[in-house]
Amino acid sequence: MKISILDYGACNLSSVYNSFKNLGIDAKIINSAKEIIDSEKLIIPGVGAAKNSIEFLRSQNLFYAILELIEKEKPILGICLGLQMFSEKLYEDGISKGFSLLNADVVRFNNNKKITHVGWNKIKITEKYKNFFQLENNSSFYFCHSYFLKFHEESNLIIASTDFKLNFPSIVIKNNFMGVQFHPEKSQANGLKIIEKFINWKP
Amino acid sequence: MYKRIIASLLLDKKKLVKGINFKNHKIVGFPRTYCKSLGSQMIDEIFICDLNSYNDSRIIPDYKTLSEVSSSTMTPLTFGGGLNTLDRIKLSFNSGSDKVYLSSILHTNISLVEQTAKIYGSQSIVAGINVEKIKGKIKILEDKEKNFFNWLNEIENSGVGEIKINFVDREGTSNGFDIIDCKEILKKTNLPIIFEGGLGSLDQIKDAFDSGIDSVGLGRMISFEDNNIFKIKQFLKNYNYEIR
Repeated sequence: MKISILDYGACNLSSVYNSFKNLGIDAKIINSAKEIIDSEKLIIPGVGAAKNSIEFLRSQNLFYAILELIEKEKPILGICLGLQMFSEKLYEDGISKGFSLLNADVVRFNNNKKITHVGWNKIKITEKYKNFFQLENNSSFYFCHSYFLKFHEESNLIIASTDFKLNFPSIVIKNNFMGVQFHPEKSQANGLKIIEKFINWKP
Repeated sequence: MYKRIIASLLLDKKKLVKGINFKNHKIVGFPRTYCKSLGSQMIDEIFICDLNSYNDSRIIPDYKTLSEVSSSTMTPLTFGGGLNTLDRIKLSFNSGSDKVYLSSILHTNISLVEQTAKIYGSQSIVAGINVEKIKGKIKILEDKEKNFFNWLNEIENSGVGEIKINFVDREGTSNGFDIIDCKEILKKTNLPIIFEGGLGSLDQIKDAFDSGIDSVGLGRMISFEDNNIFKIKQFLKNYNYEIR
């Protein structure tokens, strides 16, 4: 199985790489459009600023390669910003256009106050997906973000949600795309369950 | 949201050390094994500050040790100590840091925050303020003329994601925090604040949480005394704090 981790110039790449290594998977760090298209499974990590990162993806022709991989129905895991990129518009440092796979925008927790959601928080997971991930309700994960995914309307793509100031989506699944707002690579035992699930996932 | 118990570790020539008031360092352990064990005890985060590059910015931060630590634990990792250029910050992220810790450099080049945030986002930057109490006033270690609360405000506006306040004169003393100061600081900013320096007993952590503090950095307490993370967390759970 060829699992690739996308290097787009920002990110905590080696943290993500190591979490796969802990499960015996030697993932490949990639940075070209061709390598994206050839991936069997792709991870898009997420320590980065939206505008800069998306501009980078576009300038290197990686943006369209990711869209092509979505079309090819290969499993993709987006982490934090890697999830947010799949929205329509991201409002960080101005406005950036995302992959528009999700009927949502990415907005700040509060436009007037500087707020960071950082630390461990719980997720509320839908009954159906408890088994899928082998996770209990209120399982804890490590979050680090000031923007969140806001769906335009109620959506059954939201598999889990988390409370911080308001209720926001923390796991989203659409067809071959799985996105998490938290950092599974930094969430100890629970994080491993997500990564393990992604490794074995056949959407 | 859970309260955060953060291990605050100092790196000195590839070993972890701890001392009092930045002096008299004793060896605590080897970074890789020590952090791995903290991770398995479910520590919430680990902060590592490279003392050598912190004290002399010509010395290159120990990215190799950072990378070894990062590959040994799936715990959030913040690295700092002499990160005074964007290149050093990039190398820290490339070596497995999840957040970077900037402190002294903020006094001479606060624009580094903006440059970093543009690439990695604000949430990836923790600003540090080293303070001590002089004649009843909070003073900044690096610049005693600066007004502390103005500086706090300036840092908040510079675009960092969180702030760590280090009570340098309390470090290693086990005297606890000055709760009145902490409350005052919490009132002045919306960013998450980590307090560190002086915690020496379980009751003092409890007092800190009672006063509205969400995140504490522990150094000496987990390094030399008969405490481990399990014990600390269990004690706090018994008082019904949100502890993971």
